[in-house]
Amino acid sequence: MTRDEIKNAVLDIIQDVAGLDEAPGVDGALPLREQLDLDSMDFLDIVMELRKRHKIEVPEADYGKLATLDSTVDYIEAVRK
Amino acid sequence: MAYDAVIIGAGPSGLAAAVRLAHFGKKVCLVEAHSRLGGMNSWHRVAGMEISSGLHAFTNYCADGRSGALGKLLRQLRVKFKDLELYPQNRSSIRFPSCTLAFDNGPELLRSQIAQCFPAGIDGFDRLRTLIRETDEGEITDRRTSAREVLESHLRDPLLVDMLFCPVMLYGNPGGVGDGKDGSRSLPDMDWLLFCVVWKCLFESGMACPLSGMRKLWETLAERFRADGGELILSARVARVMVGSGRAVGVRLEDGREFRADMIFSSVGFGETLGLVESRREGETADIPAGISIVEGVAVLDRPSASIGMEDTAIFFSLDDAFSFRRPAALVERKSGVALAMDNYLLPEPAKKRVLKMSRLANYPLWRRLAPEEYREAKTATALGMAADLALLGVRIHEGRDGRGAFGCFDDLFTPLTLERFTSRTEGALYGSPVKSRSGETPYGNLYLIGTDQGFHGIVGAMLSGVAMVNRHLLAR
Repeated sequence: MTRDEIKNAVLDIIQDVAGLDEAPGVDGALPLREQLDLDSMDFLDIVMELRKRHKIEVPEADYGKLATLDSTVDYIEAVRK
Repeated sequence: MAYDAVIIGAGPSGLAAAVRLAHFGKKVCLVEAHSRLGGMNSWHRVAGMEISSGLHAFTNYCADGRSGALGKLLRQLRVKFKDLELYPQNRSSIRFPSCTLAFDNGPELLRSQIAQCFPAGIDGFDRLRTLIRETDEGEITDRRTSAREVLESHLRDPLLVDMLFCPVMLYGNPGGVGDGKDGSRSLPDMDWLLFCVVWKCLFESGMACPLSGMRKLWETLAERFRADGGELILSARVARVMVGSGRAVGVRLEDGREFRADMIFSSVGFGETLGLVESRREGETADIPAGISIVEGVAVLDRPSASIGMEDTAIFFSLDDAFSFRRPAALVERKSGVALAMDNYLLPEPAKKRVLKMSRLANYPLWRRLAPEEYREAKTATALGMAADLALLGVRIHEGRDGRGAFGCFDDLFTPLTLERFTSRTEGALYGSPVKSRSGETPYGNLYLIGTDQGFHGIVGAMLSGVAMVNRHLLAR
């Protein structure tokens, strides 16, 4: 997957988890939770959808690395290598 | 056959739990005793019309579909708010002989009514609301606080205390705190955390009705569950929860089929679930008391509710300024009740289903003792009593003094025995047991409670319970 494909895959997940009608416009450098008003249950769902759709396991110790869209894409890019 | 989870009961909590687990690839079997979905909130037919049984409306409604418990639930289930087609209530009221308080979705109307009727109590009411907002009702604790003590310390007026207790208790108090014994003279009370749960259901958010009844939602969820590989078995009753070394290992159905599972989630109630466990360990499962039961009458009207004096969506009433909430000494409590008009929602077109419902507390053991002929007579008397007491509130479903020329009749009556038969709840205790397991845990490993006896309430609360328990005990692992 290219960086853009990863980014779109993450945005797809966020759209479904947050119950939005279209992909959210987010600032990649800012925390996702505040921008989209996500709670801890929503955040865990993003982690579980990553596992379900893309077989990416995120250990709890790494949850902090998924704070922003950019850091999430960085993280996935790194673990896929 | 081995499953990741077996879920007992395809009501709101069981369906929500099942959909959630199947979505994340778990192998799940959902077992339902009846041929229909919905559990306590299913559907039945009256005069050819399909009517939601039990709760016909959601509480926790928020207009944006995103905030609060409803928003959280919809996101967890990947259900779109607009697909529910929810329509909010007109307005409702709490009626006592010396005062009426109106409320609608959101606390402003109720607050202004209290400011008008109880000017000395409004500061206390505001402080009480702040305290409720700051209380985490999802906290997992066995500590029990008296809601009455909290209310009395904020609101000086005993009438206001009773008026606020009335709808909260009639909507969601299983009984059992301070009022457990028949004829007990102690004042009605309930657990503070449960009070906060029900308060938020009713007053901080509010009521809304799905346009096509509850059935459509249950069928949509069941379809999703099957599409994700889930197995739904209707008309099959779980006879036993099988255990090995103190842990649940599977279920045996009445027809003899056995399903092994790593985990079992049961929505049939706390005491009812423990009653299913084979060879209970001695002394470990003290009997869980059954809660209070009700009677519910359903009247199909030949004209709109509003035209016979029922303009509110719900009327929570007490015919005595001292509200009492306990198992009545007679078959039915005549001093209080709740009346609901299913056509009084802000619907896009005039309602086709003009239905009044009324429910009041009932005495299960007395109903149980009746001979068949007495039982029929008691149903008729209860239906007439409902119509007569509604007339005291200005709602006339019977025209004229002799009661002839009825616009409708509560002859479709659910007694505690009907409820026990169709919901599997001991003594027809629809509010669940006074004893909750907020963690969902039971004395047996791998056996968890979901639904009302886990501590939440109403349709949204029960579904959120199913979601939260599978998240906590299975998906988070």
